[in-house]
Amino acid sequence: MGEQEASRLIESLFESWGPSLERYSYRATGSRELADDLVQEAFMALYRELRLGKKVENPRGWTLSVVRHHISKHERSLRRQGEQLEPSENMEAFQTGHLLPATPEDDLTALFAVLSEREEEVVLLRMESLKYRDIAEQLGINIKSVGTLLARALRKLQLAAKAKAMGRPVSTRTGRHVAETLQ
Amino acid sequence: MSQKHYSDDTLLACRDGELSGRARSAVEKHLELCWLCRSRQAELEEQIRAAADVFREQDFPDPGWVERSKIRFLQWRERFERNSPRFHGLTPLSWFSHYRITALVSIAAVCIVLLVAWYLGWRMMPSPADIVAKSRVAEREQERQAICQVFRVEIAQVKPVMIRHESRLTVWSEKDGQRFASRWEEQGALKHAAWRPSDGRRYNYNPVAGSHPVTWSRAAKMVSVAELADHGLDFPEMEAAFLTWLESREWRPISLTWDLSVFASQEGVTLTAERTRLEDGKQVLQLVARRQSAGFAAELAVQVDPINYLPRLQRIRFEAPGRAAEFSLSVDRIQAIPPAQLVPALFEPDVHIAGRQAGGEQGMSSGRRSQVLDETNGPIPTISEEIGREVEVQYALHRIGACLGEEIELIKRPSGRILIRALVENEQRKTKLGAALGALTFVDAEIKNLSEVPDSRRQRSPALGPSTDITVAGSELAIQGLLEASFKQRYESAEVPGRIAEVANQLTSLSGSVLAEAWAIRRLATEFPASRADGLRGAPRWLLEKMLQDHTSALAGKGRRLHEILASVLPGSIEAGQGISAPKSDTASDWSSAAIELLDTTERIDRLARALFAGAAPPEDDPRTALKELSGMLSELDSDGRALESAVSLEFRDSPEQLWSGRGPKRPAAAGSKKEKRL
Repeated sequence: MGEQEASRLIESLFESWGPSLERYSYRATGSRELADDLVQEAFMALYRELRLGKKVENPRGWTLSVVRHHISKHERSLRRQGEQLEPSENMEAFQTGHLLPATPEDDLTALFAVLSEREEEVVLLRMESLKYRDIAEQLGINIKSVGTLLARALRKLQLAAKAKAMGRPVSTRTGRHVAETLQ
Repeated sequence: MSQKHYSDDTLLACRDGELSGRARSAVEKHLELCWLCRSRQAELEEQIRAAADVFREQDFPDPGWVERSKIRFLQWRERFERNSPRFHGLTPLSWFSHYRITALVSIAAVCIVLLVAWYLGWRMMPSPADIVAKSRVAEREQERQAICQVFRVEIAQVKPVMIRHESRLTVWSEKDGQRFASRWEEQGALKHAAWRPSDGRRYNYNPVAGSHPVTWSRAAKMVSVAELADHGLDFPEMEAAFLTWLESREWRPISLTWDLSVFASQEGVTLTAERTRLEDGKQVLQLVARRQSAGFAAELAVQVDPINYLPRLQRIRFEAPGRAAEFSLSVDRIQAIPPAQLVPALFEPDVHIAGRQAGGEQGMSSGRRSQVLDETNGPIPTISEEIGREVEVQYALHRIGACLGEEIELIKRPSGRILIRALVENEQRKTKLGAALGALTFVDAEIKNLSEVPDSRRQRSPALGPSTDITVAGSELAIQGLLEASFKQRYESAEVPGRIAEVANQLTSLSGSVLAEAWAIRRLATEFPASRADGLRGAPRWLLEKMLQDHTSALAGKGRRLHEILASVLPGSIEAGQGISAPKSDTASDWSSAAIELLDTTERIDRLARALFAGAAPPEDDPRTALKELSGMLSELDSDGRALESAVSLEFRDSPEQLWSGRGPKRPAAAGSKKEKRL
């Protein structure tokens, strides 16, 4: 593909899909800078592929794959760093939240605290208007499981909202209660 | 209402448009009727809205993010395009993916064209008759100059039992001077030779007909190789036929296509030609002439170089019911030689054979010869000529076996002449030695036999190497017990002591003989180190190589014989074939060093053999261990011999053109200085 043609495609993809990918990266990494870099890297990789003359059928899915791949690499490297630290440093790193990707402290976090990681991923991707088929492909799960996970996540969110309204504690993924999380 | 309700998944999928048309309409129809499902779907939608609201409330990324990211991307893109010029055009890969069909068709077309060209080139070759004619012309062209041809000869009885012998045929021919010499040798033994030093003098040596060269006139008709089978297909008959073929040759170089053209002109013979590839990948033209008659088939094949049309191999196969034989002559090397470098000695009959055959000068006593030679002082030779003369003297001594420890002294005189002082056993040997040196005009000989010198002078010079005369001591041998145990199984008890003595004598003599050969090689290494041998050109160089080859080959043969005898008399202690080893991977870098290593091994073998079989000094180890050690040393000897062979080959054969040119041969880097010092 020619330079101009590939560039135009990337720029339009930035407009239509860039913010969604950025949000997804941010939710997964907890760092805006890192999310920025990951998205840039994904778009550059796509540009290189196009310039090499390769065909990319689904640019959204393709860039999401790149981002997810980089996120998992990033997580592995963080884990390795944690393993190399002394036990006391390890504990300190764990307590200060530097060992694993930080989670943004906002309303969305509080909302998703009741969901499992997989449910959260499905909801996030659905919020970014991905079709069930694309979500299933990205997460490597069955297309029917996408619907099930999504429905289950919504029910959990509904229950958590009711509990919050009634002031009752609800268990979260990290073991804390929703009320505490929201305070 | 008995209809089932839809699950949350289905309701959600319906809302998200993920259901197919029929399923969606079924759900929608159900929702119209079922308030429960409708309310559940409403709850899900409300939850989605709530989540979406929270999602939307996130002000990330901010509205300027897209523009910033685009700018960042464009900056990167610019750098990327600048640093990757290959992207300015189509890469081979992208080109291929874009024009895949065109590319495939083009590649296929090119392949087809190449195949057709190859096929036509293969098929469109000259006719067999043309190839024969061109080959004859090429051979005649070669014959115009003085040449040396070396052929590998293979005579094989294929059926009913395979017997194969390899030998070497060397031909020296000078058309202008009308000089000619040929030698057919097998493992150092001369099987036939012919000499024509000048037009009027012709000699032939055939050990079957007589032990000396005789004056000779060629047969009126040349025998073709196709006639080799006329007397039978057994090995001895084939060998005799080859001798007949040799003796019928004209005084000129051997032509491989002459035989083919004679055979092809006979009735019932078909001649074909094909292009073929040899095992080494080289392409040759193969001419095949066949004749098939009732119960007998003969096939003569000649391989011709497709570029210069010079033949390189001639092979003939004869087949009869239950019998088959093969004979082949393959070119080892053919070299043009400047006539000045063809020394007269090459064309003279071997002196030691001719000594008793011809009268006149050859019958002259050594004293008289010395007198005559002194009168023939010529100009003082150059250094390289002087070294050449020494080689010629050594070769003359070598031909009569005087190099294997006989008490002979070589003295170089300032005039360039060489004085030979020798003490030999008897008068007969004195005559033989005198005759051997007689052809060399630059040699003065002082030869005496033992009866002519006082007893006090009859001492052996240590520099001449060890004596090979071995007498087994009367006392019990170190391995007496082992030999007795082995021999008692095969012979009567009374015979055993005699058999043991016989074998012990045989083994010690052989080991001494191997040592004598190693000493002869060592002496050549001492006399002609690299600094002197490099200056040799032409015949002297060839003669030095020949001497080394003869000794190496004789040493290897004797070493093998030694091992065979050991393996046969003590089968439990020494296994047959154990003494044969692969050539050393780290062969000595020059033949002088290889000669030293070989002598070391040989001396150790001889010491141990004497200790075991001659009772010289009992071995330190027990007899079985000593025997194993001896077997290991014989393996070492075999590999040392191969190392020397390859070093000699490298020294003298590496660049055959240089043998006859003015330049010196290539020399590998010198071996360790320690070895040089020993020399």
